[in-house]
Amino acid sequence: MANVSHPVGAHIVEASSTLIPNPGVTTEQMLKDAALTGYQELIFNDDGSVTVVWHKEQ
Amino acid sequence: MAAVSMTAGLKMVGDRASGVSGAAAAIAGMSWDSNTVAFVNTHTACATGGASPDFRGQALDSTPTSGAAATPHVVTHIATLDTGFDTKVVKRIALHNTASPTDSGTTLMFGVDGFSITKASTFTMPTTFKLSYS
Repeated sequence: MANVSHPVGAHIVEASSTLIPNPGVTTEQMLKDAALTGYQELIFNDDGSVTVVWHKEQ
Repeated sequence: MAAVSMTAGLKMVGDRASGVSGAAAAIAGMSWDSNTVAFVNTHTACATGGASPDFRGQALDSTPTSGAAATPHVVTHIATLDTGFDTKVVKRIALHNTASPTDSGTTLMFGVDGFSITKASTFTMPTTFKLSYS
């Protein structure tokens, strides 16, 4: 008789925040205001927003 | 930086999956705080290692969504930090099994620490948490 199961775990694969500048605010000003430290990656999006990756599974 | 699955979060997953009587509510909220205490998996509340100078807890923006793949099965949770936290510094983010997280509430499920961002009034800040069940 087969007794089959698959081991299951839960973990964080990615945590990020997307910074979306308000009208009239430049991306540069937004990043200066945010004073970011400790991020893993910055992604500059075409619409002027910036995605800050705090944690990403490698 | 630590990205921690709390023991309480894993217990909730198991209880919910098998419909255990009294299973805790599903993941429904997110928090941002200015605490420098590192998360560990025995923490049950954001304030377990000490109260945070500033804390904001909110409901998720929408019902979490998942991809089609079964292994790993990735579920995405999104919440947008409101203007009530403007000028304050975010140093940790966390997921909770309540839509109204508080600093001392024992609702902490998953957390990320070890970074810093000042929430200014010049931008909005939707935050995304992707969990893998695999």
